[in-house]
Amino acid sequence: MITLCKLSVKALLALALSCDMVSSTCSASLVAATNGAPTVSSGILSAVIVATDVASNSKSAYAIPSTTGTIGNFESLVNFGTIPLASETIKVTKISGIQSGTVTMQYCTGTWTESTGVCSTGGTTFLTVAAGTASGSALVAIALAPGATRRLRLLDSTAARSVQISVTVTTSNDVATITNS
Amino acid sequence: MLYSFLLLLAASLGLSLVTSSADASLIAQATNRATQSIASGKLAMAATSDGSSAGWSTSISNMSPGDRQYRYVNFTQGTGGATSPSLTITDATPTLLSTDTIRGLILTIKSCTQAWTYTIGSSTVGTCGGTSATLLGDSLSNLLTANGFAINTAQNSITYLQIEFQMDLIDAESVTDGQTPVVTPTTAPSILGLTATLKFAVTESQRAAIKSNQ
Repeated sequence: MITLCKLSVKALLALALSCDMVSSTCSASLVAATNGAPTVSSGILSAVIVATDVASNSKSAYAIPSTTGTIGNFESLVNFGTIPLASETIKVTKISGIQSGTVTMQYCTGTWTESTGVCSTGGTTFLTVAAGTASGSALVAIALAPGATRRLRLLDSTAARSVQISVTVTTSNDVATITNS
Repeated sequence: MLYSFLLLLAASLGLSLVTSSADASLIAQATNRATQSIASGKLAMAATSDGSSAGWSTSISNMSPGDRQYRYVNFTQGTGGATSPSLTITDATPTLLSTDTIRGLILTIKSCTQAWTYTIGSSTVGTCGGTSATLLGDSLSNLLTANGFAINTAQNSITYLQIEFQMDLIDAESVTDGQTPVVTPTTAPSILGLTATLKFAVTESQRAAIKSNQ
């Protein structure tokens, strides 16, 4: 009669003893080391434009009322995903109220003073939707860690009018990392 | 009467002399000076995380195509000596990460005769200052079985392992406004947002019996 007895030595070590009950001998014949069954997960890509810093990214396209003058209208580009982003493709589509003039989008590597529309340093216009075109898009290299936010400014070249535009953000897996952990 | 008594006494003395003669014989005995210790070995194997590495029991999250994560684990043998080590990998929650041979996880395990040199959190891949060998290197999908696993099985030996978890950048995936990922140029399902629950089991057997003159 052969039976199998097992003896746990450590959490990571299981020792199995094969016991021959007829000959009353019990010899160690097999040993195993196992891990604690960790998970390996792939991340999530998600970035959106929101009018304010809200903790939701349920909008497929956010309608933004463009303000007038030189101050513009500020929105947040938010990385709601779990994968860092190196760049984003931002598309602005005219919805209504824009028959002439241009709409531009800008970022600031420094700090915006949103009450005056002034960028401390590195103000850059990265997207222009020209008059007579329905939409425009641009790839912009704004690095965003998961959860990070960057404020962007929309500016309408024509004052004193009410316009509606749609802004969408497309992200891709463009940041590969190598890590010892 | 008296004669009989003397005869009996003489016989008794004779017997006594014979007995005394037997007690006086020499007995030669050779012994070892110190006791000889004979110990059986212990078939054992311990897997521990190297240094401050998270080892193979801590989860890895948020991998993206193109990412590589390195973990370091040491295998220490017992005093018994072993043979035929093998590694069996299972995934308790199969997804594309463990079933897609192209876009899923790729596992590479290398051994080193001494501890790997690396820095936690660094993007510089750890290096082996001794002799290195690749023990396994394939898609996780192809490794979900028993695999030969040539760690050092000599008694009291240590094998230093570097485990690489990799996702190849095969297809670009893009997401607009947090919606469903789009895979290009193929129309394959997304590899993002998935989880594999990996169980590693390294087994080895008692070494063959030996005969030795020493």
